[in-house]
Amino acid sequence: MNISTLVIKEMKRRKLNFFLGLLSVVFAVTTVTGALTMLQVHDHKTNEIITEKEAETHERMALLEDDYRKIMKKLGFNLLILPKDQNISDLFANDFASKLMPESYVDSLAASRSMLIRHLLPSLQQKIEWPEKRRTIILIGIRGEVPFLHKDPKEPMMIAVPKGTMVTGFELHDKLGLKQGDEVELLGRKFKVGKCNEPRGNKDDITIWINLQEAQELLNKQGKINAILALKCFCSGGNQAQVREEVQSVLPGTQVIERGSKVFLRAEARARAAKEAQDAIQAEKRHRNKLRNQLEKFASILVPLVLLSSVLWITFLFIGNVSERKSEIGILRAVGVKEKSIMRLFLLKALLIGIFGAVIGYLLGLVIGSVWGGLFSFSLFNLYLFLLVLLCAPLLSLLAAYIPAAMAARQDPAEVLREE
Amino acid sequence: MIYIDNISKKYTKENKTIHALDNFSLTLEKGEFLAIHGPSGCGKTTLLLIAGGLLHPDQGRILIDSENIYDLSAEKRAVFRAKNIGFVFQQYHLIPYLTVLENVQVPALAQKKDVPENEIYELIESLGLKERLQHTPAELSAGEKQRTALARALLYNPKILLADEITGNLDQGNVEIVMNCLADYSAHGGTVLLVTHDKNANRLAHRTIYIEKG
Repeated sequence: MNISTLVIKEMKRRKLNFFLGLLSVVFAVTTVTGALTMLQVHDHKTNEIITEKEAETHERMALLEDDYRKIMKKLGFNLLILPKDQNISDLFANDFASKLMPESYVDSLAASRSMLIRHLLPSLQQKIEWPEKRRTIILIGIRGEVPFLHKDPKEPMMIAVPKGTMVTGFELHDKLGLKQGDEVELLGRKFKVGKCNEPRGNKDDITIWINLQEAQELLNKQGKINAILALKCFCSGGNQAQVREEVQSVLPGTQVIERGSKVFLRAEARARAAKEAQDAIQAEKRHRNKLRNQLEKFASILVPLVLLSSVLWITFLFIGNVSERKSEIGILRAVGVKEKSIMRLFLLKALLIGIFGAVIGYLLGLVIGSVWGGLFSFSLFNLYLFLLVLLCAPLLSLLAAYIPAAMAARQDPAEVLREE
Repeated sequence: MIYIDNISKKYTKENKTIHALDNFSLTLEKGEFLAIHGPSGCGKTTLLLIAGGLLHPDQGRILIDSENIYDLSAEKRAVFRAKNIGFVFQQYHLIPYLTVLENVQVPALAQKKDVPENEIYELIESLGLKERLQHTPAELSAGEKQRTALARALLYNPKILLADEITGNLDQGNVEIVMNCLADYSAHGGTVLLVTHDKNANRLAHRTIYIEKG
């Protein structure tokens, strides 16, 4: 015979008392676990919603970015890198840069780790008289795009013109009756017409493109260029000032001007769209946080009330139990059972109620919280919370039963035995 | 030897003071069987509870084997009771959810070692409860309940047995069994202090005293 046998037998005998105590702990633990599970489900759902929205936005922005990249590419080079001493008024008046810079500049830029620009095209341009045809033309020498050494190669926006060939603008080949394959003389050198361009409605219609080296020889400007055309990449961000700063850090003897403000307006529109998408996600996050705060506030009021009620309920149940067992306590004291053993008799019962209540209440709270929250998953099982509940519920139960147990231990056996 | 030395006990209820015992003295020798008679409310039960270390007297001493039990702390007195004193009451005070066997073993809760099973069965058999081992008190007759309570009191073979009106609810057959058990216990060196209204107890008791008013 020992105390635990007595406790278990008593619980079996007074099932209702045990059941009501258990119910109280189960109710308290279910409320706590249920509330925490609901918050957990809420967080889980918030993450899901935000992740989904972010993925959606990311996908949309990726599509938008690709579209813009293509648009930008179609719109052509949007940056012009010129010698520092080039007068911009002259550039716009003459349609070409008159000042020169070393061709090696383009190689320096290609060797840099520029993040903001793509596609480099060195060119030498000059408005000249085409003596053989008595025409004023713009002669452009290009050597094809120079690939960046530290970036993946891109498909060139403009291909090089092979030596001995030329590409003619619409106005020229149309008025001079030139066709692909014809041989023509330019500044005393023979060229084969490699391609006749479609009309563009700008100065390109009176332009002839030839190989850069040949242009340098014809114009007697070996190793020189007067512009580098480039494409600002908006995918990596950065504004005009940053682009200028980056280029000038590599090529201090240059200046950068932008071409085609439409391109930049579109880029800004895209940036605004991206910002709005981000704002929408932030708004959703704020809404979910507000909802969580409301749930938390509700739980922070409900949980202490339930815990307090549960503690009081267990205390009253144990007071009833002590009163019901007066005679039993009296005889136990008479046979020599010590006060602390009497206390143990009640506290052990409270401990068992707490442990059983914690296990049942946790599982019930998990199921109710997750079903209520609309997400049932075994991943919601939180070992840390379970262990915490398994520790706290018996402690609260012990706390609730302590006073009645002390009352039982201090009960005067003589009084009971004499009365009966 | 038990020496009850000049004890007094009074109760106060609703501003009335009742002197249950007033300068009461008594000596019991080892193996003595003493029957105490007296009218209801004369202080018999109070005397028993004081002698058993359960009720502190207002004055006086209880010396058991020369030890004043009220000089001991409550905890030590509980240990002393477990070792030396057995109680039997008119109302049995059996634990309702335990079987006869388990009720008899209840004193083990206060002891360091268990009584061997064969001794428990012998004791139970000697009191005619062999067939009732697994029965709960609700399934027992009054006589069987009292015999179970007596077995519980005798399990650790205490030096003193304090019995309070234990035949009050019993038929003649059960009175015989119980009284013979007390006589047998006394014959084996146990000291019995029996509070009773039953004059037949005088037949087996070594000494009888009558308390008039404490």
